[in-house]
Amino acid sequence: MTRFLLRRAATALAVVAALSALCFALLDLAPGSPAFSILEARSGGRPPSPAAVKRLERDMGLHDPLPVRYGRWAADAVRGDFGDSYATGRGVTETLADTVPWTALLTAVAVLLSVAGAIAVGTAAALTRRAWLRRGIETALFALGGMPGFVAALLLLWVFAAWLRWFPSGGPLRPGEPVTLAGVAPHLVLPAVALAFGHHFGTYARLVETGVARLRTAPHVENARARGLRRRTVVVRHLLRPGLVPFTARLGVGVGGLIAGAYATEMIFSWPGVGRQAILAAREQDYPVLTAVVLVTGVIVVLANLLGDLAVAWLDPRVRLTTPRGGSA
Amino acid sequence: MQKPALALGALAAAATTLLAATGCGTGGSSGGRTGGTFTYALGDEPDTFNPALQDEHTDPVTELVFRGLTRHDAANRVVPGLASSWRVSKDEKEYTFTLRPGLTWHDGKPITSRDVRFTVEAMKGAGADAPLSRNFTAVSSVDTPDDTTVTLKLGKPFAPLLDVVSAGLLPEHLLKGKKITDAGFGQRPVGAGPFRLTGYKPGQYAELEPFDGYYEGRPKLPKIVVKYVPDDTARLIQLKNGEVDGAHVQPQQLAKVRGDGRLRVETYPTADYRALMFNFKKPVFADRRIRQAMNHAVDRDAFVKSVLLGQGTPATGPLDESPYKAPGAAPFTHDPAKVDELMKTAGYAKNAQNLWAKDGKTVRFELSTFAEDSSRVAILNVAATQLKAKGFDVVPNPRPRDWVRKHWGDLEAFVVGWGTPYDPDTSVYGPFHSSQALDKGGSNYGTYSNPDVDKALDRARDTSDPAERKAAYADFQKALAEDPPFVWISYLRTANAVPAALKGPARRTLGHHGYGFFWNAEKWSW
Repeated sequence: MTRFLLRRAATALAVVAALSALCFALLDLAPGSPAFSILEARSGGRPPSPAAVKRLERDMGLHDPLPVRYGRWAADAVRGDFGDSYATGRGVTETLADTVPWTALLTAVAVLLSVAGAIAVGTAAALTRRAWLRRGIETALFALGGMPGFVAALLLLWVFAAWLRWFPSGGPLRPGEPVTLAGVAPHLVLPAVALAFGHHFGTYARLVETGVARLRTAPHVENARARGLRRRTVVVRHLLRPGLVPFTARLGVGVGGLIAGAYATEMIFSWPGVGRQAILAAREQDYPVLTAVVLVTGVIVVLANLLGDLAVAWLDPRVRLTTPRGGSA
Repeated sequence: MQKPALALGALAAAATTLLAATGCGTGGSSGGRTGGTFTYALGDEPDTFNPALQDEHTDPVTELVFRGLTRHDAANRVVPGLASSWRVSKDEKEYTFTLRPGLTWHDGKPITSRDVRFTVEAMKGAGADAPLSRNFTAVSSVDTPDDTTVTLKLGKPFAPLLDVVSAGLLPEHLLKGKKITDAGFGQRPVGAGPFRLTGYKPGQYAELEPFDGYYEGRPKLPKIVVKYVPDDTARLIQLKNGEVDGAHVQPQQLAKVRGDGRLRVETYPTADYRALMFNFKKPVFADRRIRQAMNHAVDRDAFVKSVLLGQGTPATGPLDESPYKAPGAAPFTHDPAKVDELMKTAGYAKNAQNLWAKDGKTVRFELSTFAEDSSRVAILNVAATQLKAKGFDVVPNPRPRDWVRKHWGDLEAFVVGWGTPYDPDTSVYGPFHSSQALDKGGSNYGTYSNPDVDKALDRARDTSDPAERKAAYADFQKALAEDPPFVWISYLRTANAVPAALKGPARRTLGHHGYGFFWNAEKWSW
């Protein structure tokens, strides 16, 4: 197990290094210039003169060759210094410290909602004998699956914030309020629900449904029933645990998609997280912030995949047994 | 069988997840509230609150926190700010300002003439970092004979000087030895304006409280919160819900806001105009009669009605909203007969496709703009349709912003935006003087060149005599009308919703992006 983790950690490190180099190269290939964006912002959106752009580019060291700039950045980055934002001059680390926790909170709650919802709805659809219920769930999932995440977000906004006025429509808190659970919770509801049910929820629920339905008449389930085990034991241990393997495997990969979804969700709900920061940074060509956000996102996705693998291994002993060179199982 | 029960149980669990999520909490307070904190939502959050890094526009927080030596009144005339008075030498090369007595910064430190010297030198020295620095290149030295007197000496007369020293004064004791782009100061600014910044959460909001030491007395609003809500729809919902008291609203949202009795809409004109710029390196634009004809071919009222939903006024020149607008300088009307006449005298005739042609060549050009800017794309489409209907072979083609940034010189025609409510020099010298051509590193992107325009612009810059400047700008506008560099389309209006009970907001012609709504917030109350 330790070896497995070590190997995965090494892979993760390589992925992050490759990601940073790729990110740097791609940003370099992108047209336009960060100096142009900075000066445009400092003159109310008016295009700056080409001479001014050249001067600032020189001051910013943007005229150095790409490997030199990457080397400079990497040397600082390994010491934990991601530089300063081009746009605001704030340290990138400081910006991340401000934004990452909000995105972590939002995505964590959304993942929980999504998982709980998918298991509940999927199991219900798999086990019910009422055609209307199954069809109802199917129709709902079909509609959800066909709806882009931001449409779901806007719908929620209109219904629950504008029309019913049950929830505030944006931001993590009322301005000036200290960060408390009671203060954040009502603000978290709409973005978390939008993120949880607007992104691949249909896929997840269907994976649970097929995973469970497939096993309903499997020999080991029949056997368990014949032995007179309690229904709950049969469902939880013999149906759900093996039935959730495809869903869990897909979930590990899906976290990446969820984070991408968080970008749009944060924009719509004025949620001060990494996603919103990334969109603003991309718009302003704020490369230090953008590179760091890409890296952080990359790390999270790698970690999520790892967690997904571990969860599958826990659910399905066969995965553990086929781990090369034995392992502990 | 227990199966249905289990299925129902699972469904109940699903429902509980949803309900647990939706059970608690309510929206903001709704309606009718007066007094207390005034919360205002807008979309754009500035990168910094440092006024030295904001040129031709000032975001609301920076405007509330800072004051300059001078400021502008409701008619955009220069009036005393931190300086109570000033004297200009006969040769117009020496400006002596007297500071109001007993001024302090928000942190309690006294404001002295040395802060003025520091500000001018810092802004001038910012160079590549700050577009604003161009306003101070004329200053050769700054003398501080005593704590409340400061003299700016110029190499040669520079008429807009009183205007440019309206830029926020910077505190020497906090910025000395630091770069002008210092993030600490940019996020926690200290100024001498009516409100001081008491809290700032990047990406969320800024909190401001009245400054006791403000020279006109403590402002009446107990607190202002500026909330950053980038999504237009979310901003409207927050306004309707009462989560915010006021907000910047888009033209298409006005109808929804107007029906709300709790709100009042403040609609102000701006000096921000949209026009079609031509690249004079392309021979197709050489004949000025073609450009005059196109200025008569567009129906500006239709633009205002369809594209801007009424939130604009027809534009016929760069100074329509300026005190320097010359009477009778707006010769361009929607006049199809005039188009025919001008094109025929230019030697053109309609071809089989009903397009103007001469020697088999039509007036063919690509009209472009930033593809990301939906309102400019709308202007582009309507302009292309109108011009095509009048016989001009326009090819509409919006292009990505990043592409445009690298290819200004290759564009044929482009939807641009310029204009300032303040001294005209800042927004006409750059785009129209031949010394500012693109190749020379300036912002005359179309490489427009007209000796009469150059002469008039130089004259207007080198004198501060109001009558003489007025005459110079009248000549400038006349020369532009005869040899139009642009097809002028429309000035934009900006709309803000505020609580019906809020007293004080006053109409003024605002600048780019409609910033400046808070220009007299020290007088607001509710």
